[in-house]
Amino acid sequence: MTTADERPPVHGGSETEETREAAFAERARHLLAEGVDHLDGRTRSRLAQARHAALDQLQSAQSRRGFSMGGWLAPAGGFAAVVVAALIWVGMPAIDPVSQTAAVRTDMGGTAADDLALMADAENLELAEEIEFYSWLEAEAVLPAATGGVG
Amino acid sequence: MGHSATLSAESGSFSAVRADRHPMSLEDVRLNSARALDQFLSSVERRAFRIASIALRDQEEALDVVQDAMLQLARRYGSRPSSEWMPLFYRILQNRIRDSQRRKAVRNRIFAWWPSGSAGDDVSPDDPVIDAADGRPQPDSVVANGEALKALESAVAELPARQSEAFLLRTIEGLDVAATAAAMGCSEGSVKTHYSRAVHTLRARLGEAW
Repeated sequence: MTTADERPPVHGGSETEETREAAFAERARHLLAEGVDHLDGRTRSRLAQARHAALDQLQSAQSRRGFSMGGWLAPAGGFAAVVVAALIWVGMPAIDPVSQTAAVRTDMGGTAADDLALMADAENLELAEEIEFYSWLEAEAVLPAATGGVG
Repeated sequence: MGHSATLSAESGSFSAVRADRHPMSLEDVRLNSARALDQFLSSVERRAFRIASIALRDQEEALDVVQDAMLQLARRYGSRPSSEWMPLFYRILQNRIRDSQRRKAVRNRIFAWWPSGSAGDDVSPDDPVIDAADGRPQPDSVVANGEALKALESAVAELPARQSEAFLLRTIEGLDVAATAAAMGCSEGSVKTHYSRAVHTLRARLGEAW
């Protein structure tokens, strides 16, 4: 609804008046356009800097958005880890002949649960790589723990 | 396989697309968005600065205001279709200009009673020191019709804020009535009214000889 305040002013409605207004607007547009074209170098440089800052801002925003998109990747990664763990568990099913309810044992001598814990801990990566060596040490009772401990 | 994790940079926006239709990597999408925003800002930055500098009558403040508007557009609306950027950018810019004008008005009220010279840079917009050459290159000094332009700028700066906005957006940026209404956050009828009154007032102030 148009209020009294929003009503356009009455100029008499003559075509001459409209023509003059149009000519005025055109001259104003021309002058202001010249002002735009003749900005000094310092101002243009500052505007370019501002634009580059805005582009950096866009990249930061996109990176944050990328992280949020990664929101579904994290659960997917977790699911993949569970699948791998299950495969390790199922892939080495050596049932203890003594007790059917005993823990599943691997042919390396450790339980599958031990293997899972080992694989879950990044610090044990070196141990995992040398697992055959450590298994041999344990079998040979060379390690102090296997011989009753130190002290 | 129906949909995949590939993304589209259609108009700078993110959307999942079928893998067999223009698949783009995330990096491609980012590059396209950045390129589109760079082009848009390049195309509007000078006119935006002129609008801000006429409204604020302060070059430094105008630069700050334009930079703020650019940053906010990139941060909040950079992922929107580029066709929406123009009204959004000028909406942000006008809000920033109004905020700056309010702050300046408050500063001027506070320092009105302050002893002369103590207010530092918080001087009246009509202070001759502001208009005096300060050694730096001034845009107005290279305008061919400098006097006419200065008279026009002064007259525009004295218009009511909404009239000034409508006049500058339509005259400098060349926005049509609908786009100006979107940028100003008002109806098209209001834009026509503000613009018409602005032209009427400017003609009366500048005289027929202008």
